[in-house]
Amino acid sequence: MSLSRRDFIKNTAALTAASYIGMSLPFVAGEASATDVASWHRGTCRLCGTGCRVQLGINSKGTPVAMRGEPKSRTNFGYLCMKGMMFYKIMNHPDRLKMPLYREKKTDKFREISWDKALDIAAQKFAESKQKYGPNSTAYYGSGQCLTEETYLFQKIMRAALQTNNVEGNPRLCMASAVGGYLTSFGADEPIGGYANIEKSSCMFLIGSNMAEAHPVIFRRVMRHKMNNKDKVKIINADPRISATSRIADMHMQFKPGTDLAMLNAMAYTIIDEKLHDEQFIQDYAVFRQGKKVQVDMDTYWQSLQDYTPEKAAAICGGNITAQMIREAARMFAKSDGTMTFWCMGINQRKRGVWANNLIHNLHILTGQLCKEGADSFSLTGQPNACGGVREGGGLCHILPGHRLVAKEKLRNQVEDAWGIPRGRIAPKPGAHTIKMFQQVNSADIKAIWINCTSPAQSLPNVDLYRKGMAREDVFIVTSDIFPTKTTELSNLVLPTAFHFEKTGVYGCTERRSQITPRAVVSPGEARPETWIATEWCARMAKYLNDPVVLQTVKPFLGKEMYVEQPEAIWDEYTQKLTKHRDNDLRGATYKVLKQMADGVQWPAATESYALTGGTVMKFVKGSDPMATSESKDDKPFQFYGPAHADRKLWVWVRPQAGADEEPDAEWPMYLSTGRIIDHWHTTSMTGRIPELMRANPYSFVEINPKDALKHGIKPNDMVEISSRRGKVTMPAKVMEGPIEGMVFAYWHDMHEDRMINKVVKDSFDPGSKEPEFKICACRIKRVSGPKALKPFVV
Amino acid sequence: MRKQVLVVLVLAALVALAACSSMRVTATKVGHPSLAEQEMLIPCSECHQQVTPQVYTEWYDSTHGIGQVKCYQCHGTYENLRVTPDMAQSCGSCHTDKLGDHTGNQTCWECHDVHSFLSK
Repeated sequence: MSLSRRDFIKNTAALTAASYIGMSLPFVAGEASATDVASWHRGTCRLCGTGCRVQLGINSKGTPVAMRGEPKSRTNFGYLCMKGMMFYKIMNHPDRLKMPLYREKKTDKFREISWDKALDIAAQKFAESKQKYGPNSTAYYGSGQCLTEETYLFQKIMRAALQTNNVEGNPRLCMASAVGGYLTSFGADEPIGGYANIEKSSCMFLIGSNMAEAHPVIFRRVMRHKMNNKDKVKIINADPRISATSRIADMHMQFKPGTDLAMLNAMAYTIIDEKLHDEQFIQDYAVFRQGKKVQVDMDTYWQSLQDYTPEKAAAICGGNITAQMIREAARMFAKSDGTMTFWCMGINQRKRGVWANNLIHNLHILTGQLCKEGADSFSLTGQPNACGGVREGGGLCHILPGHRLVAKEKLRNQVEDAWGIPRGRIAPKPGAHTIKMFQQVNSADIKAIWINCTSPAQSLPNVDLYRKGMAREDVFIVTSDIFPTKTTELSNLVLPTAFHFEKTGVYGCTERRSQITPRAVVSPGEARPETWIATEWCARMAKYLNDPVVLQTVKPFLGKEMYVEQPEAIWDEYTQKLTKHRDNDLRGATYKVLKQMADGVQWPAATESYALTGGTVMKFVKGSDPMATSESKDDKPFQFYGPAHADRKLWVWVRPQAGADEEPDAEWPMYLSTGRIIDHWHTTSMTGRIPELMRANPYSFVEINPKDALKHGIKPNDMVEISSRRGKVTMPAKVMEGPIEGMVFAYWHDMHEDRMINKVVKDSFDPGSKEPEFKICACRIKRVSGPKALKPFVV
Repeated sequence: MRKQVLVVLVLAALVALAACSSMRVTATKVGHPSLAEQEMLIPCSECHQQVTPQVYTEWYDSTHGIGQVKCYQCHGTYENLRVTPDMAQSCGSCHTDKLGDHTGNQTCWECHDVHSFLSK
């Protein structure tokens, strides 16, 4: 308490080595708006996949001035994190894009043009590309932040009008391995249960997820459940890094990066060795698989686990892992009344992310910790509509709306019939997945690409390699967004879009829950909803391509009022025609129903009356899921009717330990992992413009274990260079007992060229899911200097 | 309430110290020591861990501390700093249902400790 100003400054000197007077900040600091709220408007937060319901407060002039949680929502019960609490502050930010911008050459300056001109240019360029170089010379790269109506419409245009399956989106970077895991283990994408299981569970296994920062509101539910039931509820946190999540853990399993497959197999070994498995559940519902078409018996599976006795696995895992710890974790997992596993990017963003997902599901299948209260194998989702829009709406190169595979002719025909276009119109081959798509940009095989609501020029791994392609003059890039980004810097045409609450549409969050956000405020300038932009663009392409099917693609939506009627028509087409009798049946979740619900509808929900109850809390369970009854094939209580397993069984997979694509060696001796912090969202194009959030974490830091810091002579806040075979960056150090010894952890929320960690990260990807391995590569570190005054930066 | 007063006094003392400092600072008009813009980029808790350790510890061990509810969510940032939070704007953003019938005419902190949030 007796700290003098001199001491105060001295104590913080590490960050204040030079006084930085007069620098320009990337945000407008000023008095927060008073909460003179005239009306509150219900919607969904858009800054992670949780699906927190919010209320946006606007004043009598129609200006957003406050945000609060919706207390009646079963996702967040009124709680918000700081991002959800404050994102209204960017809605009227002066940096908002307000007019279409165009330049013929990427070296030219942008000039403002009219919408008419902008849409015409986009239509001409894509039509020309299709005519000259074929359909696959065009591509769409979207986002898990787009509304379902937007993703659905863009993919429809690409497939039906331009006849390409080059439809991708940033969920490929974060959730594709989870999709692969669910499909191969359970035969159906997305979790069986939902958040409602949290308060009913007695063991929670948190692996590869710092949910305290990446999913703060879900974490708060977990935390409260633990704090209210200290002895009854056990938390196991498994991660190479100790994080804010670890604070609530009874056991923290800290292993060498990339060795968790061995650890998970060893838990399975213990479960069988100690006869903790549920024989009846396995007999009724499971089979064992080794390879796509090879079924094996349980004994073969057991033999495969002999390489992963707890002792052998502990030796592979390193860190603090002991055989006893693995056994204890397995016992907690198996013996609890209800065990719930949560994971996120630590499992998904891996060379063998699908396998890692499978091995988690294995534990749940073996122990019967599924389809009962408090039990679930639950993948956390990073973005608000990666599930609803991209996974369900057909936003990836290999899938069509309603969880249909492009490769299956019967399913393509269903979509063609629903769209009223000739059979055979949709190309039979899946398009290029994300990394392949940008490789094709590099080689200019793709000549025209539309990037919507995302910034691959910052978010792709090994990003400099792909920025070279994006900078090519023979690749035409349209970007639609609300702010300038690293990607708009490489674009020819930049289209200003309406933000959340400035248009109407649906997000589907992590727990199969679809929630509507109706329009409540007016967009600045001439920003427009993407659904209007895409409809008008396609209608113009019809003229250039002289193809009636192109116009047919958007005919049902043309001329409709753009803020409510148009998105509703798109939603109706998608849900009524394309989810009918699919596992994500959303026919009951009409706009009328969704507007009545505080927290939306969990699919399947085939009728409005059922949707009004909230929908299906637990899939596959008779009495909870109507489809479990309507699709029932026997008298068993659980029916795994998902589209991917014809045998309707859960598959326990034989999967070996597999490390990273690039392991440390003598030249690159350390592991690099990257990730998130609570105050920011991805590239910071939004959160970087909110003073409170930017000041809380103004730039990227690299976390270094104290033992490694000592070896390298690094002190807190010293500037540290992180380099790899691909590139190098320099950022300040946090010396802390976070990452395991031998590993550094860098935050990726920084647009500054000196600190963009994706320049260093490797672009290898899972051969199954095609999801890049952001979480592990090899690097080296060196101290560059003492602390430096740094400037927060956004484009 | 006593702790709150203490915080105000400490902050006021720091303001006074800052006024005597020869260091160039950006003027602030609220109850916080004047800071250079670079200093404003230091998370609140980093300084307050030392300046107001009791407050920090109470917060850190509380549900807000474990749940990562940070200082600025209740107190704002420099330009809009509120030593005493605006109940509707701060508490109300997560606890809307608790305002009104539950609180009546009282403030949240009349019944809950200021930074531990435990019931008094």
